[in-house]
Amino acid sequence: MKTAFSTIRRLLVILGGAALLVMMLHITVEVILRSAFNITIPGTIEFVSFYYMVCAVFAGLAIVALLDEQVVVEILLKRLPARPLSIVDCLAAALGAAYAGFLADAAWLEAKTAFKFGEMVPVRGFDVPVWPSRWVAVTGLAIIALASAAYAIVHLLGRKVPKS
Amino acid sequence: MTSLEIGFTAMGLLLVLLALRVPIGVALGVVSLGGIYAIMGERATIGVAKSMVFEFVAKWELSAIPMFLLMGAVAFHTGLTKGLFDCARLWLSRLPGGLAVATNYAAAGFSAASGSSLVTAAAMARLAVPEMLRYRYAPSLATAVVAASGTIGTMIPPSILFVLYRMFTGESIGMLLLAGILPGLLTAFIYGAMIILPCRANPDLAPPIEEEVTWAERIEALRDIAPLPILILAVIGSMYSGFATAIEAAGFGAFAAIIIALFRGSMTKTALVESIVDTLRSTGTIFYIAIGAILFSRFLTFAGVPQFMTELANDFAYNPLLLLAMIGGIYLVLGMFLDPMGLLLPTIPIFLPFFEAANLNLIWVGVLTVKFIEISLITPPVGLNAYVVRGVIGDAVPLGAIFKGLTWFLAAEVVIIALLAAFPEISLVIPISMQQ
Repeated sequence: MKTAFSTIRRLLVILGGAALLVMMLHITVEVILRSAFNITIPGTIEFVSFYYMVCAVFAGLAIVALLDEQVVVEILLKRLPARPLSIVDCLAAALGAAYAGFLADAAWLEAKTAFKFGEMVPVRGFDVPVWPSRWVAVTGLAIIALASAAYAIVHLLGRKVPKS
Repeated sequence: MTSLEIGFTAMGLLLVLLALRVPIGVALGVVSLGGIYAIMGERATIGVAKSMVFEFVAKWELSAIPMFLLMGAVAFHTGLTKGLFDCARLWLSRLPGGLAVATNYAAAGFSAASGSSLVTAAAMARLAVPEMLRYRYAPSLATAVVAASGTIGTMIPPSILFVLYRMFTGESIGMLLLAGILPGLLTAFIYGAMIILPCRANPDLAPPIEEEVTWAERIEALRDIAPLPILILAVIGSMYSGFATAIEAAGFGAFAAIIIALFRGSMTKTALVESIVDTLRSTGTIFYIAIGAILFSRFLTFAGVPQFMTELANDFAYNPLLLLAMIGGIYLVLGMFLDPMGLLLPTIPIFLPFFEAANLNLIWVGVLTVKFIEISLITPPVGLNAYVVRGVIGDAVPLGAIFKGLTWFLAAEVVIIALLAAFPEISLVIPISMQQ
């Protein structure tokens, strides 16, 4: 499981990192061209929103899930012994998996429709297809659901030291 | 059950889930979807899940979050923080508690590159705490100054919390960010005074440093931090002058941070990769909670909670100060358990009707809200910044000592809050001058 997780994580860092850098460059070029030459690049807002943001954020969300790093309120049950604590964490991770699974399923329905109709957004003079980024969301949410489910099992088996 | 009853039941259930170590984002999302199901049925629940998550993420305005995070991560990994601390140390170490004062102002400087208090505290802890302990500073002072001055990270632009606050209030993001400048500087200044006074009265807290520093060394150190004003110009300057919008200023600032690092020769491949990984992780952590929070706010609307709050709010509207004190108190209590995002995002839709009923300036209230949240970062038992400092330095200083040191800074915060509440101009003068 460890190697699979770290391979997926590496791919996500490449995808998300590329999205971050391209987003930064695209915005910078837009600002400089507009200020210096009064030229605006058509579609900057659409590309940033539908492509770079979607890739960077869903990659980030999936990385956090793979590392089991979501923010948890720890103070109240901190003094519980290790075994009951890992049961509590197992249930929490299972709930997280169900939540992400539900969102992934909903995103899947939306992505299918978007694909079928070739979802686009209009940008000065042409249309930018945005349906592919719907699938990025589905993939990201599915990774979160699977990672959370895997952690639920790990906690159930008591294989992981609970956070403290 | 009426919708409103479902609303309040869900809020109670939320607290139970949080206590059971369910991640904050998951707890918010689960009670919201469950609540929407109870009020509106299956189709509406699937409809909300289908549209809201994607629409929330694919948002131009929120691109400022990863871009501000990238800028801070690059500034940290390419050594800007270290230069700041070294420079502040050479200039200020002669003062009573000089290293602590230097840490405080270096944190304020780093705040111009970092949009997060936790990041600022972590960055300063690595550099400044070992140095202060080496000079036999009281451990409680050495750690507390880092935990406290880290909170300036959110106030001085860039600021992640202001970007998120704006999402619910619709205020201009540029004006909100600029509004944080003077309150941030005021905080740094009052903290500085708060360090000097006790250190002068009790030199054991911070033994004087017998180090001869030449003016040449000081000037040299200034050269090392020369890029900082460029970075400030790239973000605050471009925003204020209208060269870039506030959202664009974030991407432009990240770009400037990378260019500066390239010129200084400190942009290695490792630094770039680490900056990217840090940025993605922080982005993921923030959006986990923010997605839950946006579902929660939609659910509250379905349940009629904001309308109910509006009716309630009219009774409080006559006394804005009482209202602010009450809300500050609620943040202090909730801040014992929740992190800044978990605190800000679910509460804003609930408190907003109160602010609006009392006809308060939402930018000024935003500054006060962020200030309340920052204070919750340094109050026991879960002052997160104290935990961050401890996480970085290990077991050398017990948590109790950090919180003991923080009492001085909490006293300073009382003064700061009073000033910010009494003089809204401190927050508003810069954004208003931009508008003109």
